[in-house]
Amino acid sequence: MSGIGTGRLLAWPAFLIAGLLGGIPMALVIACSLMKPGAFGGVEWGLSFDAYRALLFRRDIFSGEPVFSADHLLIYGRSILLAAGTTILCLAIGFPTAAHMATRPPRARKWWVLAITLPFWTSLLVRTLALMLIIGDQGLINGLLLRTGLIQAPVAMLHTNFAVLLGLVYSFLPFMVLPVFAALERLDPRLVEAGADLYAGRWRIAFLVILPNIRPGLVAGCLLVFLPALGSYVVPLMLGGGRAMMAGDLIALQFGGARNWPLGAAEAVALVTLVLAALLPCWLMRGRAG
Amino acid sequence: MSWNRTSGSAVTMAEPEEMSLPSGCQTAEPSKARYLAIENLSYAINRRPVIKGLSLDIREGEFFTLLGPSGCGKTTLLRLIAGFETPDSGSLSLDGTSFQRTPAARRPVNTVFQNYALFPHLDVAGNVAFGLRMLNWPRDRIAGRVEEMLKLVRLSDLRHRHIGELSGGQQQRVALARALAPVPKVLLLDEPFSALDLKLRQEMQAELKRIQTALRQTVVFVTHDQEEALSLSDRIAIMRDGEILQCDTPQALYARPADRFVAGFLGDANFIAGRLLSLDASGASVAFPEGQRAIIRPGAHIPAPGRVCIMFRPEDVLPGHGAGLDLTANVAQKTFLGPDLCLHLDLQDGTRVKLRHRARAELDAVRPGQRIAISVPLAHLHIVRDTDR
Repeated sequence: MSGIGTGRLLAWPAFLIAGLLGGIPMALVIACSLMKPGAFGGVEWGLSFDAYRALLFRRDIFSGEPVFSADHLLIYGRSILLAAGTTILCLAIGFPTAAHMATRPPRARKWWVLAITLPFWTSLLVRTLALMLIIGDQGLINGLLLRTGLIQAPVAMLHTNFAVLLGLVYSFLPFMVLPVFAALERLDPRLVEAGADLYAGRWRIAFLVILPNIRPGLVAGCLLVFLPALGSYVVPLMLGGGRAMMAGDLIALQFGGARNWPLGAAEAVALVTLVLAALLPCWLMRGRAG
Repeated sequence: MSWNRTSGSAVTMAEPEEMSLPSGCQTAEPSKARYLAIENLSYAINRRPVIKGLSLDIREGEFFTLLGPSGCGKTTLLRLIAGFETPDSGSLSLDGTSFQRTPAARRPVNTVFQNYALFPHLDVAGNVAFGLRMLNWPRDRIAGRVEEMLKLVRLSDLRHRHIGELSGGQQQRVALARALAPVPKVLLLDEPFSALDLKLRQEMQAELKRIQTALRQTVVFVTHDQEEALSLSDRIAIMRDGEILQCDTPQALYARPADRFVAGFLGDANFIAGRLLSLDASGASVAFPEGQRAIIRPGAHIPAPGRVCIMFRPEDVLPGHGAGLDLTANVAQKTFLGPDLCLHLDLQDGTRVKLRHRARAELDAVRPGQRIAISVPLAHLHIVRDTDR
């Protein structure tokens, strides 16, 4: 009895942080999205749904009539596609990596974990900058290719969707590898042997024995990659160069250069709604499994 | 009949094991006697040899046990048969077809693992059906076979239970049903009962023996429990340090051990030193330290002239003078064992031997420190290979 009471008591800091640092800002953003933009940024009091209307419609320059605009949908669509692509690539690269790590002797595993977490030692900004230097027109790859004579003109890689995807995969890969590794490490290796003993080949062992038993780790990895990738800001800003814009940049733009806080807030609310919609199936699946 | 440790030389027969001769060339009996044939098998982990040139023939339909202390390589041998490890050299063949290079997933053998290794994401029926699904059996045949197996292990009522909801004994049964479902040519069991308490273990042993007898299933069973091995097996191979010391029926192993280690591992044993004078068809002529001489019937071990180790069981020692080996000894200790009495005796040269007998008045009267006469009938003396313990 007292154990349950103590448990609740111990959870209070978490509730407090979630409420103060999650709930209040979110409420502010929602409130902000329902107001009018101030001339020099900020908001003016007064209820208005203009910001939400602006997500799908823009005013015609001449007539002033609202016309449908797919700009927001495009950017959101690109964000979702890039985030999904990042997740799939991270899974495709991260799973074999994690499997390799988990099958090393325990002492070697420590070094692998260290190697995977090593990029976190420097700031994301610096790492992204380094990536720019590698894939830029005068960068390492193009320089090498030009010098060897394989190409005549530099291949445009920076400021493309490819660059953003590369940057996202690079920055979020550890978030896939670590939870999948943890799940694989806990997996009883004899289950794999039992699968082989019962006539399952490599692929069937992977899909019918290993995958079902590490699903919580996979779900955690996918969420940890997909969610931050969807709202990422620094990577698309630097590697996309405004040409491959993602939702995060767009929101930042409204609060910065465009000085349209309500629109930025509405864009943020829309993004949160999208994330919730994406999470719902995962959450339902987990509920069924548990 | 008795199988000596001459791994390699005597057993490496000239016939190649991949032969595809019509079976008419051979008599039917030997092919059955060499159902699962292990020849000169070697395997090392990190350059440390675990299996050292081991050869063994397992018969069709027999309950064969690999018995030995932990670290003797018995589980490794089982894993080599299952295909979880690949031998460095030597060959494995089943019914004349060699399979040491076949991956585990294509070997017609199934394993019951020590910790069962049941799939936690599947229910009881799903676990039993797994191998059949991998073999692409049609659905209705799978369903029928799963029913049959669950009935065999008496778990029909629990087919939709999840593995986590089962007791240890029930999990054991599921593991057995899962391994038996694909009709394996050889069933491998790796210390399957070690996690169960005594009563449940005995129950499961009886159950396994019942099923094995009913199906005439060829079984290779790994254990370190002598009693379990003696009570279940048709034949036992005693292993130590990656080698087989002796392989025979439980009765023969107990009655005629070839090896000092085997004698001590299966039951209680006394050892005394002797000198071999001569060896011929009638027997081995041995001189004992106290000056006696005796002709001992040759047993499983063929000794070399010189110092030999003589073994006899405590229950074969008789109090008082008698025919056979006649000795005098000091009583060092007396232990009461329920129906039996055990006397710890010191011989003249200081060798400690034990006498075990039904408690009788004359034995009961014996006190520690007393000097008594004992005798061992010659039929119960065995020359064994003197291995360090």
